[in-house]
Amino acid sequence: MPEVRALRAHVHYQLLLLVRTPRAAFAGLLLPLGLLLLRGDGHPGAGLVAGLTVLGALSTGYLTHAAGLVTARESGVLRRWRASPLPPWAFFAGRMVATALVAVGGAVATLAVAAVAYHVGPSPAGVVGVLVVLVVGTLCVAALGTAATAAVPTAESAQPVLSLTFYPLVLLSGALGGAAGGSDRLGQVLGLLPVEPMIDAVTRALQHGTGALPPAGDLTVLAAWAAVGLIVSLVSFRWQPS
Amino acid sequence: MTALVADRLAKRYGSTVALDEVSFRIGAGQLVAVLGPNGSGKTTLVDLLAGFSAPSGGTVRVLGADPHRGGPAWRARIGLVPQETSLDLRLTVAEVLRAFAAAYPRPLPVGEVLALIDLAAEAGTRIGALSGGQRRRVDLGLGLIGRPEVLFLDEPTTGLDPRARRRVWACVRDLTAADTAVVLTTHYLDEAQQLADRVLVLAGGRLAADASPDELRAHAAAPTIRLPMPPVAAAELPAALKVHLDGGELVLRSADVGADLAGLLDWARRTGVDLSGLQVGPPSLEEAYLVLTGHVDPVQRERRREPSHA
Repeated sequence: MPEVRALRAHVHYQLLLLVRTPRAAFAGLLLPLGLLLLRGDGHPGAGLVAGLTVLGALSTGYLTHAAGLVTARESGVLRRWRASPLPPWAFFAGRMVATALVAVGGAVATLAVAAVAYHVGPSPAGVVGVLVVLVVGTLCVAALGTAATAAVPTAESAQPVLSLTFYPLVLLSGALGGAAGGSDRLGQVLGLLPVEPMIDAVTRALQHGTGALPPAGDLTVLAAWAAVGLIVSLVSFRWQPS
Repeated sequence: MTALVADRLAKRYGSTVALDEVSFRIGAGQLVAVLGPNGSGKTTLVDLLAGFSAPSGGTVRVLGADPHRGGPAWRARIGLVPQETSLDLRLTVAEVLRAFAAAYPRPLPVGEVLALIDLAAEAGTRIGALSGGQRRRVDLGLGLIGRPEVLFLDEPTTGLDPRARRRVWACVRDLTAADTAVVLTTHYLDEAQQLADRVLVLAGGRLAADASPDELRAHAAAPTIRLPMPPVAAAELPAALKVHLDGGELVLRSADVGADLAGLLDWARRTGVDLSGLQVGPPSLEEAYLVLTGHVDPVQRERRREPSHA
């Protein structure tokens, strides 16, 4: 299957690019680990560990992925791939799979440090559920990040635009522990956005060692936002600078 | 076999006409140079031929397909070297070549491409550590790696040193010998003279000429008398000849070579000007180009003042 061969090679290409991107190491690994050490105060709760784990994964899935796309668009790299026979779906699949692998790798490292240093970690039964949430959530925000590139005119403006649509949401959703809660209106709104369901699902797995799969409601929210991201990307994605 | 056909091809951006009813055909194995000043429509034409944008009018077919609707199977038969280097700087030369090779159904071996672009020793070097000329050669390698039947070269040798340019020319000649049709946009007229079977001259979005380099020279401009002219001698020139001074050289496009030459020789004998640099010959492609485009392209003006750069 030549398309499978091309896809595999493209995942490898994007993986190499990501692991050599300083932004990915900082936002996906160093930032959550640093905050864990600073905020943990020796006894980090499951909510904080879950929040920082999700923060790292989503930084890679959204910020690093989308900023990289904008840079590639501006430098003509996207145009060059568009001129090649690699189908657009294979380009995006390769990039998103590589992004998910790096994001989940960073998240697993954060969880491992929390488990070893603070004894906060999922039970063996909960590991699968955490991984499913992280993979689905990362792919979801990568789709949204791809869509967001349409609103970013230049590489220079990528960081402010992407940060503005990312940090308020992840911080309000409880990335540093202490979510807005589910009783008030803001909490209800956050529950329908993609970040809080992720943090909730990971928190539950850390606290209770819940079953192999996260709640269907959380996965439904993530899948719905992934669909929104894909549809907007299909309509608005640009391969060349405007 | 016809590789490309453009029929009254037009492209407008709002009220700006970038390309105005341009028609031509290019056969397999032909190399056609597209010349024109900045803004004449060269890159717009390449964008249309490579399928990056849809025409506003007319039709274009490349390898029998509408480029704008060309799918992966069509793109596998096309090669592109864009106007500006477009590479991921954190990857090595071999990593980039391998990734692109995997996208094509029958790519050239990566080792062969590295040899063609003379970067075998830099295969493991990150692209960010290469010189500008070396990066340009990676661009060329990516254009060649799929064994294209049609190759678009958008100013491929800009910024290369003379040796590297000749290496690129040799690559391109090998491709045309293997029946690849090549569309080359360039500001270097010596490049067009060296490589092109035909030259399309664009001016203001219109096709000003479509002919071989020799035909262009013969029809577009008159024979030329050239004489290096030191400032002291230039001051002595009669007013009728002074208007033909171009930098430190008298460049006289002559409708009557015999009469003009006799006048010049007579003046030189009287003033004692050295005639050892005197040249009489057909017009250069550059002169024909300037006549056709109706003005002096700034890039060419610079290049004409730097003959060693040619």
